[in-house]
Amino acid sequence: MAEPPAEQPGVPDINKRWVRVTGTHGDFVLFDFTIGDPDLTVELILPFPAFLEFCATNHAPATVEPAAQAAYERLHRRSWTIPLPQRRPGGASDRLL
Amino acid sequence: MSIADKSTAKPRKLGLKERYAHLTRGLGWETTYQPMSKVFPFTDYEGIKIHDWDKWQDPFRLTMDSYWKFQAEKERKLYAVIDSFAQNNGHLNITDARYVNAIKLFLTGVSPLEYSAHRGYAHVGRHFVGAGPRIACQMQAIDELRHAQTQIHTISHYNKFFDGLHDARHMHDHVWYLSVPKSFFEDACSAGPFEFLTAISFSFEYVLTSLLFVPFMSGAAYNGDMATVTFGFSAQSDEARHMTLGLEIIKFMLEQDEGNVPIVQRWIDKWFWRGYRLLTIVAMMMDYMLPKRVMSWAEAWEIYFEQGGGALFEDLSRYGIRMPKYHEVASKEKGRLSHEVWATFYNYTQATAFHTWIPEKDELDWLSAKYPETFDQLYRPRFEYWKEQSDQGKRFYNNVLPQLCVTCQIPMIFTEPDDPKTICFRSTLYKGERYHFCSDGCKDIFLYEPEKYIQSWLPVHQIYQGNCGGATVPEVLNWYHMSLGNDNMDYQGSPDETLWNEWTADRHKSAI
Amino acid sequence: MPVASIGPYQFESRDKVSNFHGNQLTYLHWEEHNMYCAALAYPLPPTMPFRAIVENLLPEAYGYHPEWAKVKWDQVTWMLDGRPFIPNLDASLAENGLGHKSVVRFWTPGLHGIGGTAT
Repeated sequence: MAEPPAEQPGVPDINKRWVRVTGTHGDFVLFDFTIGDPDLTVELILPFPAFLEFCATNHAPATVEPAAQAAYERLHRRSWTIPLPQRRPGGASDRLL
Repeated sequence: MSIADKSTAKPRKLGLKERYAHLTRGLGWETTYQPMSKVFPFTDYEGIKIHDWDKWQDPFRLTMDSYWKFQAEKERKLYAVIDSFAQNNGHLNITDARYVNAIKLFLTGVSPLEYSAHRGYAHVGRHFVGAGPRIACQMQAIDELRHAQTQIHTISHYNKFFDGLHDARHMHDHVWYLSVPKSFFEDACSAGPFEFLTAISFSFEYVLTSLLFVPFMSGAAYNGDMATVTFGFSAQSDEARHMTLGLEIIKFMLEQDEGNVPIVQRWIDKWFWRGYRLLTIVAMMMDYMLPKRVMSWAEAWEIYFEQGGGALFEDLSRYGIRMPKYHEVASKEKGRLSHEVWATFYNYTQATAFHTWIPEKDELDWLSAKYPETFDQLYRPRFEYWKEQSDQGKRFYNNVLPQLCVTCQIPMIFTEPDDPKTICFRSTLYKGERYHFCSDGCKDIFLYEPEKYIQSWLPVHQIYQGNCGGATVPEVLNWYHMSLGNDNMDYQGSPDETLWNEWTADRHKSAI
Repeated sequence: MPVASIGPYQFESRDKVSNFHGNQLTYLHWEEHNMYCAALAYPLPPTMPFRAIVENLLPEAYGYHPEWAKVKWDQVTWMLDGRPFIPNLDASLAENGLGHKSVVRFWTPGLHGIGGTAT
């Protein structure tokens, strides 16, 4: 899994994105999302299927913090029973998933 | 936050601890030409007693020079990213143009609050006796100004393509629904410095803000709005510092004097309720305005307030602080809040700078699933009736202005805590005049300081007094700087929708 | 409680009746029909007969609602500022006891909103 690069000069590349799972809450995944530079990180929360969709859409490799590993895997296993989100017809999201 | 200082390698420079001492505590002194009470005239009148300002703990130990360096570097990257998104037509990656309406509400309702917060912190950053809290407030004043700037800068990109974003500052000061956030902050800024910090740093930043930022940023990210996510980058790392200031000021007041406890408790009660009422627009954004949903308002309330807040107040109970008054009412309302508010804006979209719409069937199904005890029983029939009428060309608009709550200034739309079918009416007589409230929480706030709230600038009453450009909808909208037929009315048939459909059709064509 | 302040703190009501050019504010609300999200606010002359509310204002405001045509006016129950109230249609608002910022709520028996949901 790719890690965010160390401090680099110049303009951050907005096409480079990373996800780091920090915890779970019920069916939700808590994670840090980074674009281009570790300074540009935001804490987000999404339901598990939406989280997977989000990582795929953004071509963002995901890592899981050791403390969140067990809970995340539990969610992963349980997710067999969670239906995938409905796609909206005609929306831009269609081509992304 | 990384402010690791490597200067210890150079012996002629001051150590981190010394430098911190000089650049914070060293900037304060006991005045001699004038008495301290004249130099700091606002520290006593609220009744808060401080015996030793040096007991103030600054957990971040950040000095202004390192703050400046750190923020400048972060800002440089941030603006580079914002520009990249603009150059790459980032607005085309959002899920649906309906999403932009959440951004319109954010820019007109929330971003001006960042600026108000800047003013508020600059003010109290001058007026505390202790140098520790003074510096912390000054830094936050700059943070808030930066947040306002990045938000305006980011959203200006959307202004090139979508309606309703052209005059947020003017709208914030004039438009009826924006008097809700505006009056919230003016209430805080016109209080004393200790109440201001309890209101904004503690009740808002510490207790409630995660309800605004985490789900809102997640919604932006999930709906493809990476431009808005960039201002999340800017805000969230500062937010940790702000929340700490919030908790520190509360603990500081509570530890300094036992007499402070009841004053602080009353402020917590007041500002919890005011903040909660302000968040009704967030409830609506989450449940109705995101084409792809993150979580329901009820779920967010459970996670961030009932669980997160519950733990916090348990921790504060050792100081004699209890849960904010009426928190149980907020929990009773969690299954209704967003529906009642969305229906209100649907009633009055002829006078809003954003569009409303009836959720599509799969969205109604999502709401039914998330609100199994309320949505089908109370709200779905309403939306389905409206949809039916709208399909026949009879879209519902409420043509008479609503009664407003004197305290929160929201239309009196909320229902009785134990009866979701009956509107909650509360009122009181003060100096022979009637005043009306949406809730016991808002009534209590009025009763404690009636002289403050009898000055409320209630938009509906101002229109009837003739102070808002005229008596007709076009005249008032003109006074609001809204463009009739473009900024307002249903999303269906709006210029935003037309443009978005053209873009989508073009993209499908070019994809083939 | 007085406002904690650094000086005298006294203000006039921004909504005192004299600011409304001879009108007084009246709030009207049709109970169990929350499709209209809140009570409706009107500036009305106190000399206006109550009949004008029933025959002009309410039909204009609520006429869109499918149950409006079914209202049986002889069965309607009223409340004025939290007390049961029987309006005299030909008397003025003032004679009926409506003051500045009075709230008039009314219930229409048998009509409970679309699908019985108070809509």
